[in-house]
Amino acid sequence: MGARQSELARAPRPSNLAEVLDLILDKGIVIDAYVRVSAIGIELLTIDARIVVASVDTYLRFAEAVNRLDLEQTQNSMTLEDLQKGKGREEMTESGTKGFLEGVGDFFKGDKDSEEEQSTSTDGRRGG
Amino acid sequence: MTSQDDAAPIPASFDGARYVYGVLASEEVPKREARGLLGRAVRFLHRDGLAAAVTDVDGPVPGRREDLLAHFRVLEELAGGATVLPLRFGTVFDSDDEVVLELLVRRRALLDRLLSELHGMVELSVRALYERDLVLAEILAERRDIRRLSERTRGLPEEAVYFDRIRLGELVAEALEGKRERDAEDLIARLARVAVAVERGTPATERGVLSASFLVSRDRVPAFEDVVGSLQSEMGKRMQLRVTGPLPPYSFVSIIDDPVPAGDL
Repeated sequence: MGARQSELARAPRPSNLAEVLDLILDKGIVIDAYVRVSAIGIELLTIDARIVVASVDTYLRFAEAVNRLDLEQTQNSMTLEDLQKGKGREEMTESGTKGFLEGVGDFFKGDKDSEEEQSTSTDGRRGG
Repeated sequence: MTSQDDAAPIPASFDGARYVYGVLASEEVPKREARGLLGRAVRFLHRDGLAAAVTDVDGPVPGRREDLLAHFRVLEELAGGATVLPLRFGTVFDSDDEVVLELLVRRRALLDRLLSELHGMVELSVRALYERDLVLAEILAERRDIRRLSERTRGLPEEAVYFDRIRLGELVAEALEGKRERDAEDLIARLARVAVAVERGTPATERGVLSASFLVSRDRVPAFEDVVGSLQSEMGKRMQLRVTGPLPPYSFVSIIDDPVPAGDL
């Protein structure tokens, strides 16, 4: 049981604000007539940090990644098994999504955690 | 929630509005006093066995970081010892009477039904992410067409193979999507066995495999965590799994708001 426990990444409470937002802004009981958030809040609520949309840009990035990987494997004679053992793999905590934070400005400044998943799907809610 | 030290002063004769966090059974209301939004006290308004958790506010609530966290933490703490129905952030009524009438009386049937259905249940949120390079390597190993296209396009000037590279990326994206679907279904199937219900969300990034909320009976939470642990072991380094919770059942309280007309009361 000890070994399994150390493998499981257990986060008893959401470790980033984006996850909290997803729960309390998009879910829960809604009594529409009484949802009242002031102007300061509306700016937050209309953030729409959407999933990555498939696009030419995305495809080129995939191509680049695959080219690099393919080249690495060929040059180093690495096999899939080698990669699975941890050779040449990028760190799990590499942040490819920090760009999102810049988009929402100061709001998230307090969040120091490096989270892999930063986006949430808060679509424009109309505050009463 | 903040402790007693940072409490904001409440005027002697307060005539402001009432922010509502959620609803629970009167008998499950905690004895311990708690602080919520703006550092102010969390009070409880009761009617016929139902209680609404409220805080006095001055009007529409700002959506600042601390306000959102306060909402979340009040509900999280209540859920530790009760079945609590969370409201979406930002619900404000004009008075205690309005909270009782509009929420606890006119929407009583809905609230009773939800409390009954969700009694003893909690929400567990599961997110799974790929270790990108490992999964791309899997795709390379599995797909000869992708391997060949990659060989053909690498090392050449970009302009020469621009469209080939787009095609390569497109094939990889499709292959990734296929893997994502299969892995997600596998995860859900395994976890659903120890859950009562599941709500599937959309993973938010390219590396996301799964984002789902599970409704789990409190006494099955350890078993659920065991399954996540087993899945993580099986996935090895190719995927990272994270469980958050127990949480109040945010994802399982969506209702069709159908209050009793005021005239019928």
